Amino acid sequence: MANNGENPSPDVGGKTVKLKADDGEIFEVEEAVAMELQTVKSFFDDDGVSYDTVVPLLNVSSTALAKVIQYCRRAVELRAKSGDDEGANEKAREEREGLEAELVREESDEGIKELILAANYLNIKDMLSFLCRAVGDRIKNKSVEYVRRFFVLENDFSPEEEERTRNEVAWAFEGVDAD
Amino acid sequence: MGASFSVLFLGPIGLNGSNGSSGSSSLQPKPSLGDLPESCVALLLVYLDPPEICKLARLNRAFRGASLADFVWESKLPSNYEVLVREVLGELPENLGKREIYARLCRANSLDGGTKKVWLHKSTGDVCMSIASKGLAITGIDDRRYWNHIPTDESRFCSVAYLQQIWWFEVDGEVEFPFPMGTYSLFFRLQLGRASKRFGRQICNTEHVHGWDIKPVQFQLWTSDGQHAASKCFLSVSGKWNYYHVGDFVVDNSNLATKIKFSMTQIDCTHTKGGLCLDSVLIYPSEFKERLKRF
Repeated sequence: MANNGENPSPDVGGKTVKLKADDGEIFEVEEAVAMELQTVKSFFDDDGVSYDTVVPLLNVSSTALAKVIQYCRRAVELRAKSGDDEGANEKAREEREGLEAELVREESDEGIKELILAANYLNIKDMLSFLCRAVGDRIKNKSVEYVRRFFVLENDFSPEEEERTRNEVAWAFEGVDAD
Repeated sequence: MGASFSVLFLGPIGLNGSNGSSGSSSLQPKPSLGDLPESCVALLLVYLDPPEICKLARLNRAFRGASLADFVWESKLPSNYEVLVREVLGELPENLGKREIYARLCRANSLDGGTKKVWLHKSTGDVCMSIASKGLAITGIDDRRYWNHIPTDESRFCSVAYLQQIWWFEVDGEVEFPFPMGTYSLFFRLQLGRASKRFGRQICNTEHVHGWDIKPVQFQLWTSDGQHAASKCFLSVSGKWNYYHVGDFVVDNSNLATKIKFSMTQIDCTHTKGGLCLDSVLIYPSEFKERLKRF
């Protein structure tokens, strides 16, 4: 298939795929990397869709798409490095975790939200997992109001629903434990 | 949706600030995280602990829905929860959601005629167990010159065993239970002095306390798979309940019930000892060991 683990530049030979972000910017990506995006993979799994077709990704900004591609490119490279050797596997796993930590560390709350939406829309399981974990860390132990502002959410409960929900989860705040 | 409404008419508030040009040139309002499907929110909730998940259930309908997702709670329940449910809750209705199962297991469920209580630690899902003084084999318990059961609200079991005085002090117990895999610590919950309420205030009467500073008390535990732990210490008056750590044991196979025996003894018959309140034995996940020792 495409050039796994070799020169990451899209200009080198091998099959590539064109992805179009919401502002019209086109990204040319190696096929193996593009297939990490399950949404893109499904697009081409349809009969009769030629690999020259530009994939329109209406819900993804070019900033987000650039980061997604960068991550997936590295992920594909690292996966190629691991195999039967436990030592190599361990090293690849550590590198991947480092990559994820770096991506997350640099992102503002807005940036991370945008990436989650992109990873969800593009259906990239691993990326969505570590992004969710990162957001989880950011909202842990914060107030309900803080989280509501973080996600820009409306409280769409009726007063009765709100009361009912409060009662449903009251058990989680009762003091049964000894410590 | 509140967020997209604001993008259309008021500008990209709280959304993609870094991509200004594309934000204003696109006619489509940018999706906000409020538009995330429930399954995605549920994936986020997996990374939080149960009390956090329940707190966020009150955010809005989508979060409430996501907080009910079975796969979220399956990741929190002990791996052998089906066995635990049978043992602790008995038969359950067929379609009970996993969140409800977790909630019910978190209650202090009574077993063995009320002599034991079992519950899941809310935050971690680890099993905790408390064994009442009435569930222990106390030498001389039937002789009111030595021991008496006194009612009190300082015990989960509403009653503690009070020792007036005795030569041969021995308390034994055993339990067989399908503990999930992990490391557990065993404690005796004790207080030197007789607890009572006078005029609504808690009082600790240390009148009969004696004999605990002469020789130490021995604590031991054994498991049916050959583990053994022992410790000893002198008991002292602190005016409050203390958890005395006996030792730890490891469960590495949750398919079999673990059988544990434990004991507390001071059988040096050259001196009497007394003035002790014995509440219960506690089996607790070891990660909280230090917290309990500080009590």
